[in-house]
Amino acid sequence: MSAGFAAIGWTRKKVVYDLVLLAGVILYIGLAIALDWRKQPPTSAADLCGLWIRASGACAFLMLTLILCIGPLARLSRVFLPLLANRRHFGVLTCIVALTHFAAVLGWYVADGHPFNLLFELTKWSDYAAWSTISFKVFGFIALAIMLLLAATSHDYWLAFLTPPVWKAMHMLVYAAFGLVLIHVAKGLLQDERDPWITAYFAGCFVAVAALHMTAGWREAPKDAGEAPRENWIRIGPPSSIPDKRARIVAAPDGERIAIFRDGDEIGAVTNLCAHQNGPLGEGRIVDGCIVCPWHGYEYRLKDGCAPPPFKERLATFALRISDGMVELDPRPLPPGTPASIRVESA
Amino acid sequence: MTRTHRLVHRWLWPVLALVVAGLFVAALVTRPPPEPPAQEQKR
Repeated sequence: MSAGFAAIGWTRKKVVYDLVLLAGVILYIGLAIALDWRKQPPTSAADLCGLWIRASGACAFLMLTLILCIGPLARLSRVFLPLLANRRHFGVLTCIVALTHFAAVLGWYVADGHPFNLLFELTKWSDYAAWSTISFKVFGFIALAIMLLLAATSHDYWLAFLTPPVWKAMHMLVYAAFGLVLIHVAKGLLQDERDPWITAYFAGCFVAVAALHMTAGWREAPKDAGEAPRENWIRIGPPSSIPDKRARIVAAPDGERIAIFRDGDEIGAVTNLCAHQNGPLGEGRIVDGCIVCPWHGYEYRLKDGCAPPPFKERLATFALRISDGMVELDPRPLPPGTPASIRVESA
Repeated sequence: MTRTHRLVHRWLWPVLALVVAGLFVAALVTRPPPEPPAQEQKR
């Protein structure tokens, strides 16, 4: 897999996904501004900036909440997988909305006649001595910096350049950004806003995201325990125990997961990590002899783990054998692209 | 996700939830008391 730059390959699904997102953002911000305007009509340019600050901030928070729900929901139910495929577009749009929030803050300072006050506030080091005097803007600023870094590196070029494990680890920073945004809200908006429902809304969003991630994470923990091989072979079961066109996922002790697929009378084992974004290949299926990743649709041949031409991705494969009518797997990976599938008489 | 990512993920969220919940509550507890409602102007 090369790290060459290729522009986004737009498909009809991606265009529809993005248009729906954009329409949702415009509708949300438009409605929030209209309601705020009705409650307190603006009388100055600073008030107008305030309207945008509140509307865009609320929108970005909701978008971040929704994005962080998609991952664990897709782990818990396949119904949510289509949302995951274009999640990066959702993230970039959230960053753009957050940037307009920041721009409106700068606009507010300019309209107020003190364009450099934000810089003074953020660099007033004596304020950092006590929790109660730390400005809420610091938390928002750091969260925005993280979101900018993640949006800038969201393209497949960076994914290939950094390698999927590093890229994935870096993009886990979004969890910290979400926490920082919540503190930004608690030390900012909620200092004056005393409506308990508003406090409950923000706290509830965080609790929902945290609960979903913990549930999805701990539910999968037993799968990582692994199965001890006997004389280097892990017994999988009869060929019919592997669903046709689907996979069974096993793990060697302290090893990565392995997906064992069956396509009629052909059985093959490949790493469970998709070469693109380390998606869970074993939760995908076989279409026209190729394993299809459930996350972004990357394809690999069952027989050797190679992507069909012109693509060049290759997966590590694993040796299989039939012993006493049972499929057995050697959990030591073969070099990527090694033909290793076997034929069985009847499944 | 790799095994390491899943492991980190499983431990990260409980820790993050505790830290953020603590700071969230601290921010609410230390907020200044609400301003008293404006007194009616004496006629």
